[in-house]
Amino acid sequence: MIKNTLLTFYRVTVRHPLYAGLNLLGLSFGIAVFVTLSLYAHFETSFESWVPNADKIYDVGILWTLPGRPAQQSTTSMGGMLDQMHEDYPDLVGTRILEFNATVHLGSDVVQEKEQLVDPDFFKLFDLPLAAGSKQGALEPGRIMLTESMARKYFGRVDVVGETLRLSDDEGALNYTVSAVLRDIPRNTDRNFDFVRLLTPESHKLMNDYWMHWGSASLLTFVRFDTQAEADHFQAGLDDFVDRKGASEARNGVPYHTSESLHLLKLRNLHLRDKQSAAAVVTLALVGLLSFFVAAINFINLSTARAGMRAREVAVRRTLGATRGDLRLQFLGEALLMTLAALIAGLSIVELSLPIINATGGLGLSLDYRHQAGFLALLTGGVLVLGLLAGIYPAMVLSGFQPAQVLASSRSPSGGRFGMRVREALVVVQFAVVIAFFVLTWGFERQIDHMKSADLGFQRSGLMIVRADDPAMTLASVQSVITAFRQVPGVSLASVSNYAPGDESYTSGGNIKLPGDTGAETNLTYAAVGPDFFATYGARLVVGRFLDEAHGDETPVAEDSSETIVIGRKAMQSIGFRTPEEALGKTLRQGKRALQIVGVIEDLNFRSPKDETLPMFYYFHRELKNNQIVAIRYDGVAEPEMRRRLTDAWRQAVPDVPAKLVSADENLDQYYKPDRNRSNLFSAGAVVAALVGCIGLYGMAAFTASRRMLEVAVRKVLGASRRMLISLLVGSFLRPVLIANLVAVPVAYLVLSKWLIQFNDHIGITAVPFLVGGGTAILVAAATVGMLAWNAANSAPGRALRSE
Amino acid sequence: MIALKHISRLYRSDEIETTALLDVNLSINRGEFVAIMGPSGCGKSTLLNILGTIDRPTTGAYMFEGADLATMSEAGLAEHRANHLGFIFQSFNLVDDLTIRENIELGLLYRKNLSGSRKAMVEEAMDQVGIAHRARHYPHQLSGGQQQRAAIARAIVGAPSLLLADEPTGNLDSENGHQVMEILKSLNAGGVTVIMVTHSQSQADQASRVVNILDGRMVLSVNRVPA
Ligand SMILES: Nc1ncnc2c1ncn2[C@@H]1O[C@H](COP(=O)(O)OP(=O)(O)O)[C@@H](O)[C@H]1O
Ligand SMILES: [Mg+2]
Repeated sequence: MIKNTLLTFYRVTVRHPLYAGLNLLGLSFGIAVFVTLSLYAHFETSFESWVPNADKIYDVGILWTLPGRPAQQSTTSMGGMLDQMHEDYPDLVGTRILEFNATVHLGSDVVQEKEQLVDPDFFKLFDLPLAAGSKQGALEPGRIMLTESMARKYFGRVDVVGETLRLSDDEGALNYTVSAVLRDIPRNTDRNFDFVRLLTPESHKLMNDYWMHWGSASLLTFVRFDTQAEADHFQAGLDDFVDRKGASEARNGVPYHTSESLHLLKLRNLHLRDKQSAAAVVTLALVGLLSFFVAAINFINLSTARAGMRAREVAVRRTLGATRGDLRLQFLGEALLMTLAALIAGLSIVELSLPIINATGGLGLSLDYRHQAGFLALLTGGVLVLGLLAGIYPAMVLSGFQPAQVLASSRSPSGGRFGMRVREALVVVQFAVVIAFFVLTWGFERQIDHMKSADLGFQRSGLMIVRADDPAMTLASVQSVITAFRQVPGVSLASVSNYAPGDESYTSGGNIKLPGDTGAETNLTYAAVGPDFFATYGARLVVGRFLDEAHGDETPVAEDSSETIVIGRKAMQSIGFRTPEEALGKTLRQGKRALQIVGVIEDLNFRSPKDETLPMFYYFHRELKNNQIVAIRYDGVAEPEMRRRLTDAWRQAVPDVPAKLVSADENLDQYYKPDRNRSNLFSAGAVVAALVGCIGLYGMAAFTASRRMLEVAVRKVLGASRRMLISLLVGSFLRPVLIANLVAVPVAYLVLSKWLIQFNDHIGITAVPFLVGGGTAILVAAATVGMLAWNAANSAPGRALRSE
Repeated sequence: MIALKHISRLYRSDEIETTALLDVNLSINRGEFVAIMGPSGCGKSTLLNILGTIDRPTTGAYMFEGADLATMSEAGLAEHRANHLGFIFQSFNLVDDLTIRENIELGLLYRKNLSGSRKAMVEEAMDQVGIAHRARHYPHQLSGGQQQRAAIARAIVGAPSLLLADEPTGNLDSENGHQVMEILKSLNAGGVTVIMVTHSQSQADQASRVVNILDGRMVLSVNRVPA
């Protein structure tokens, strides 16, 4: 019996390649999209889950509630905070992670690496496995740990315990002895542990005032609690702790924790901390599920439709002594075989496309048959259930037919009106999903394009950026680099500032007031800029002038001095000026300092398009002391060539420091990338769903047309014209597609508008995608059905009549 | 072998009630060749279907070698069909997607406890109807006569004791119809009981008995001595 089921399955597949191909293709693509998006969701939600006891580790983050700004959660905290916590909670287990840039020599090359400075309790939180060496004494002054890949990179082998590594960072160029080699960190992490060494007093002394300065945030502080209750208890005491330790920051009797409060953030939740990312991941998982759903509907539809055509075969088998049970088994078996084949094909598609997806998206997705056995078992189970569903309908209906009646009638029974209704409903659902996907894809892509082309207040093409903040660089070497850059052919301008596109850190300017204003203070952000800054970026002046040396704009060091500033439009509005002209010439108060506004510019948006534009003011320094970022404006030279020329110029000026050149576009890309990745995955899902939908429609149409061949033939004999016949067949298929439009449009509109709200600057929703999406669906439906109808209407009626 | 007593078959749809068979009494002995005749719509197929247990009488009793088939379970009837019956149809009803050999194998598929090799039985059935050279073809590649011979092979491969044929030559030209008749007659000569619906008087003349039906009633049953 099993052999016969296999044989029949094989024969039906080979003899009806179109049907089998469509059915298999549709389902396997549905499965592939589902698996890929599930892997993506799993990847995104599994960040740091590989850290042993990850659930017991918390980051101490700061919630800033500053006047005139939306509340903002940061993951970083004050350098000395953990020391202060140990004063009050002596048993607290915690470690800080301070990241330094370190320069390592590799042959004649200088390479920039990230180095993590941690406290001695590090392993009590991050119990990372070692490839060589021992945790005992690994974190002592003068010692360093590195990952296997770093060991291979610098020594060519893994066990390098006892070797010496020369590293220059903020503490200077020093030799370190390798104490242990860490196993490589998985891809699903935001933690970087390439080089790990002890956070020594020498290293934090570099931060001098800011180490123990409430209001600053310079590193990550992690603490460990074995139970939720302990964590809750600790959290409950944090407001008091902040008020005690940060007392000197409190003003006018307002407790300090009302502006800066501490919150425990679970290590595992850090990655999807912002709600939009979390929502995006959930959305994608849903798209995966929907794709599978559409494919499943399709599969059930096609299988049952096809099976209906086998009523005669079933009747014959009954006369040969088959029981209903035998026939049910046969149809279930065939459906299960088909789904299993689709599962294998789907997984193969995933395996083939994962390398491409990972490469383009910078992701680490993989199908791990051993560790994801649970997921795969679930998937297989789901697919088998689908097979059962697809098989049960024909199994029940067909085995229930009276063979005598089937054999007596010239036509095969259809499974009745109910079957037709169910199939029509399924086509509606399928097309609704396809149309909604189309509209959403359109919206996502348009928004991402919009962000890429949005006015950021500066000219981002032809702009290179290089950080000159390496500890080895002096004021003089920064100047020599800028001078060298200016001489590179093609470079028109070069300038320095402490704030650049894609730069996440910024300085809050404290609270600013108009003299005589008794209302609330406004919190502004500021940036120090050098000569030519505005011209290099291509900033647009609204009124007044830019800052320059000729006007004597150099900002004095004294606290009670007067200085000149340029403000952006947003700052102008936050302070309360109605027009740029009104702001021009006014003097603001920042503590004892007087800030005179000499110019207003269109806002420079250096940050994520999702974030609100910062209210900024700019002040002038001929030479910047810290955090120098050099910007270079060039023209008439291709980017790779300019990159090469600038790198050469840098090497000549400061040979011992690695050149970290990026284009402004590259630097901004980090903001678009997650959305683009997700949009790409979404589009892929949507395209496949649409494809599957069309496959399904085609299959259904082909089936209906062939079922109605006889009717068509009879109508022709009775004198119906070809046009009448085609419109009869097409009409019956357009109805479900029209209903699908009615369902899809409001749903897609709601979802898209909700998604767009998260962007500070977003596109409007027009009727275009709805018209195009709906129109295309109708066209595709009309075309596929029309083509089949044309064939049916054109065929000689005699053939259809004779063959029955 | 077969005894039908007071068999009636009514079809009820929403408004109309059709009486396809009314109070039919019929006994058939092992080895008979029975031809059923009558005008179109008189109930011939209905009678054959009831004999073949793919339709149940509304009232009446059906005894087959002492077993009461009218009250037998579905599963019991399926087994009965597999073990004792062979069907031949006017429109052949071969399975399009299977080869001729595979179609014939279907005739054994649902039979339990077969003695002997299935392969040999299939070969023998194919030889008996002269279709062996077409074993690997699909039905649509064969002529009508060949298809019907294949269908007969499928019906007889399990060595049934009763062969039911509903207008087996209705779709064939006279030459092919003649061939089919010859096969049925030789099967009958080998001991198989044959019941055949036909419109052809010349075919009926070759049967050992002719049953005439009119409007659902059996009007005449003539025993003949074959010519
Ligand atoms: N499924 C059915 N429903 C209603 N009436 C039927 C059905 N099958 C057959 N009949 C009726 O029963 C009568 C006998 O049919 P049938 O046995 O097929 O006739 P024959 O084979 O002699 O031409 C006809 O009047 C036919 O219309
Ligand atoms: Mg008939």
